Parts: sequence; C-alpha cells; structure tokens
Amino acid sequence: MTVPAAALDPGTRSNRPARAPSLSRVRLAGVLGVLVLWEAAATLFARLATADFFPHLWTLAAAYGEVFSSRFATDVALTGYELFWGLLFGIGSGLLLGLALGLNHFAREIVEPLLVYLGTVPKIVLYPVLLLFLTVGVESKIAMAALSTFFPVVLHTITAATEVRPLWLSAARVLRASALQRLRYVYLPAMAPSVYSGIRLGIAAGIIGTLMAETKAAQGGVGYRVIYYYSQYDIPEMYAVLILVFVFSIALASVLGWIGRRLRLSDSDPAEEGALL
Amino acid sequence: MSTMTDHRTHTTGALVVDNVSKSFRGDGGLGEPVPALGNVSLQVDHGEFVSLIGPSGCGKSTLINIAAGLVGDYDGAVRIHGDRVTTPHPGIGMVFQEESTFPWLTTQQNVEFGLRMSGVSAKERRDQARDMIELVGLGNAAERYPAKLSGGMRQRVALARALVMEPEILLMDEPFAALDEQTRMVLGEELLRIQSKLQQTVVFVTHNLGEAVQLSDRVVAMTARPATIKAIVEVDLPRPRDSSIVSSPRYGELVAELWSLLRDEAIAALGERERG
Ligand SMILES: Nc1ncnc2c1ncn2[C@@H]1O[C@H](COP(=O)(O)OP(=O)(O)OP(=O)(O)O)[C@@H](O)[C@H]1O
Ligand SMILES: [Mg+2]
Repeated sequence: MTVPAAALDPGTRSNRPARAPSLSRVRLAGVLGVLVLWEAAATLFARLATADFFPHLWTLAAAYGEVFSSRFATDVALTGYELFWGLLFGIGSGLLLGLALGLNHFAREIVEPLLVYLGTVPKIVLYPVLLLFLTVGVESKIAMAALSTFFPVVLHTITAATEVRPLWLSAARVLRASALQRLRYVYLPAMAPSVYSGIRLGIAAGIIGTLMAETKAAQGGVGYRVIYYYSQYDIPEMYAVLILVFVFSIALASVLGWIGRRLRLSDSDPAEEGALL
Repeated sequence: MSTMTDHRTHTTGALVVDNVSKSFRGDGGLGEPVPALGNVSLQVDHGEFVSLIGPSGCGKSTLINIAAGLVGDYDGAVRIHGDRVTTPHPGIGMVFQEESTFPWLTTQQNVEFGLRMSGVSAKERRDQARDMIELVGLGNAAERYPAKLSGGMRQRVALARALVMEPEILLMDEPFAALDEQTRMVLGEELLRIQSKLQQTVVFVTHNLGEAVQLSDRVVAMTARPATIKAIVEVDLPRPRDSSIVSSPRYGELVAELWSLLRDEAIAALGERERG
C-alpha cells in the first residue's frame, strides 16, 4: 500500500484546519455541559434543602447586575495593582537570584536545597508576619504575591541554567562565539523554555497568594469581595465573582500558552495549560 | 585535482602535537588521577588527512578536544602556527562525537551559527548555509528543528555547521558513526572533495578501519589507555579516491594491517573494563 508522504509527515499543516473547529466545538459542549449540570444541581438542592447553596442560573445572572453596580471595578483595580507589583518583584528577584545561583556552582550547592524546602511551604502561613510588618493595606498583598511568585521562578531558573549542556558551549566556542555571544545565543535560548514555564507557574502562584491574602485580611480587592458576599450571605453574588475569577484564570492561562507557543517556548497542549493556572 | 604529491608539497606542520599528556581526576576531582593520554607526539602537515584509530576509551576524544582548545589544562603542547593551543584557534572547525546541534535552531539556523558569530551578512550566510545543507543532503529538512531529525541527519547538520566555516584545520570525532554505510560512503567522498579543494588539514577519529583507509593519507593507531601512538600506517592509495577503492587489493591489505595492529589493544581495553 502506498501512502502519500505528506499524509505521514506530522509537520504538514493539512491536519490543522480539520482539528481546530472540532476542538472549539468540544469546548463549547463542555461549557454547555457545565451549565446543565449546574442547573441540575441547583434544582436538586432547592428540593433537598432550604438553603440556596446552588443558585439557579437566572438568579446567578441577576447577581451580576448587583455585583457590577457595586464598587467591583475598584476591587478589580486594587487586586490588579497588587498583582502587578507583586509579580514584577517576584519574577524579577527570582530571575536574578536564579541566574546568579545557576551560574555559580558553589553557591547553588548551599542555597538551592534551602529554596526547595522553603518553596514547598504554603506561603500563606507567612501572611501574619507580613501583616505585622506591612500592615493590612496593599503592601502586605504585594509582598504575598511576590513571595508566592518568587519560588517557582527562582527554582526553574536554576534548573534552566544547569540544563545548558557544556557541549553546546564548546560548539559555540569553536564556532567563534565570544563570551557575550554565548550568553545571548546559547544561554538565553537554551534557558528560555524552562524559565518561561517557571514564570507561568509563578504567575499562577502569585494570583492564588494575592486572592488568599485578600480573603484573610484586607480592605478591598476581589478576594475580599468574595468573602464579603459570603459573610453577608449573598451567595449568588459570591458565585458570580468566583466565576469571574475562574474565567480570568482560564483566559490568562490560554494567553500565556499562546505566547509560549508563538515564541516556541512551550509546545504544551491546552489541557496542560489548565493544570498550570 | 589533488594527488598524494599535492598533499605533501607543504610540509610545515599545520598541527603539531608535542609530547602531550593528560590525566583526569575521578570522583569529582578527589580520586586518583587517571591517565588518558601518555606522551603523544604527532605532526600533521598542511592539507593532510590523518585518521586516529584505537580502542574505545583510549583517549582519542581527549586528544581532539585538546587540539580544539577546549581543554586548557594539559601537559606538553599542541601547536597551530607555532602557538600553544589553550583556547579554540580561529582556524579550526570541529565535529563532536556526541550530539551537539542547537535544539532551539532549525537546520538552516544551526548551519548559519558560526557565520553569524563572525558577523557575516544575513543574505550571505543564508546562501552559504543553504549550499552546504544541500551538499550534506538535507535540502528538504532546512526548516526543521533537530528534534524532528534522525540521529544521522543531526550529525550531518553538525558536519555542515563546521564545513560552512571553511576551517583551515578540521577536527572530526567519529563524525559518521551514526550514519548508515551508504550515506557514510557518499559523505566520505564529499568530504574528500571539499578537503582537497580547500586544502584543509583533517584529523579524523573513527572506529571504522575501512573508512580510515579510504579517507586518509596516514592512519595513526593508538594503544589502550593511556593512549600512546602504537604505529603510523601510510596509505599509499592513489588520489583522487572514490568509494570504488574498497575493491582494490591494496585496500584490503591495509585494513588487515590496521586490524592486526589494533587487535591486541582492543583485547587489552576489554580486559581492563572487565576488571573494573
Ligand atoms: N572529563 C573527564 N573526566 C574524567 N575522565 C575522563 C573525562 N573525559 C574522558 N575521561 C576518561 O579518559 C579516557 C579517554 O576518554 P576519551 O573520551 O578520550 O576516549 P575515546 O578514545 O574518545 O573513546 P571512544 O572511542 O569510546 O569515544 C576514558 O577512560 C575516560 O573515562
Ligand atoms: Mg571518543
């Protein structure tokens, strides 16, 4: 049997257009499925219990009116501000220390195990300390975001630096690359995929850290808003905000995934991206 | 056209290996020093093609790496144009024994790498790399990344990446080991053609005795570790050569001679490995 060579080559573009619509159809079906399940659960709960733990879809829709007419935009802006600075500090310091340790074998031997152990501690346990030093305002949230972001970034950067194969450096040297050129044309591209996945994990951790902190002690922000609605027993409004958070996370994950694929930093599929954020 | 006599007209010693020794310390620098090379001396003339053969682990790669300037710390001297080599000399090119292509670059970009580092213009390096890629038979894989290539194809990328620089001295550490016999033959002929055209000096490591005879002016047989030179065999086959040379009786005699030189060393090397 003869098969056209193009049909066997995984690199050809021919199988793409056929796959894309079916994938979006699957996603659409998934969203519809979730809505149906939600409504089924809401109906069931309405029968079984008096409490409205599961609001009906129309109640939920109405709750968005209430949420958006409150000072929700201010909360989003506040959380955005905290995240921006937190992620900036966390990613920046993670990259710098990661590079320094990755290129210095001796320092790495000492510091890396420490970072690995500290990295596994849930950062939220340090939140009281941050509150103590930085008060209940934005500073403690920024610190929380930075702390959460820092560990995945620094650990991935160290790994990335140690994964640069000496043979690549030798090959580059024989091909007349100067030390600076080796940094730019070997270290950088060789490390980029691993560093980028560290940054993605760091962003996810930073968002979690910030929202958690806002639910514990804060004067505003998206996490604060969730806990506020909860304490007022405005359950539909609470869900409405939570759903926005989910949608935002998914959107951010796909944007980061798309950027990664565009820059050839990752070729992971969308399923993996969901797991990252 | 290049002939035997052409190769011998310049006898200035393009690459001089003068009493070179090298020991490695095992166990992260704490163990006993293990000698890998013991007092090797060799002169490779300008335009000459010299092969190194010897049992596995005897120190051939070590010698090649020292000549490439990748091992700064060794005893004795490797000299290129009279200078002791401790960093890569700009006139050398190298094909490594292990996989050394850059996985983040396409075939085309890999082959352009050295030209780019030396500041060759984008258009010029694209054309030069393109030609070299055609020459090693990767014309339809130019835009692919190494992960999508076979081991033999990747090795040809590495070969093209070195050749495109037109190095004066070419160090090749088992460049064809991952290739099938047919590709090996074709690329061998191509290498000889380029080498005689550019009057390149080649030091070529191989385990394939036939290949050594087919390509070389001289074949250096090395002993088991620590490597010293056991014998040097002159290959008195006429040039230009092509792969039909393998059917000549002299070819068979030379291969047999090399094998008899290596046989004891191979057994010695194996025995050492069994003892641990
Ligand atoms: N960086 C190193 N550290 C410690 N020992 C080394 C190092 N490089 C090589 N050796 C040792 O030196 C000896 C010679 O190694 P080398 O790679 O030069 O052998 P070779 O002749 O190229 O072998 P092969 O034909 O299998 O490639 C080996 O015993 C090897 O274990
Ligand atoms: Mg070797």
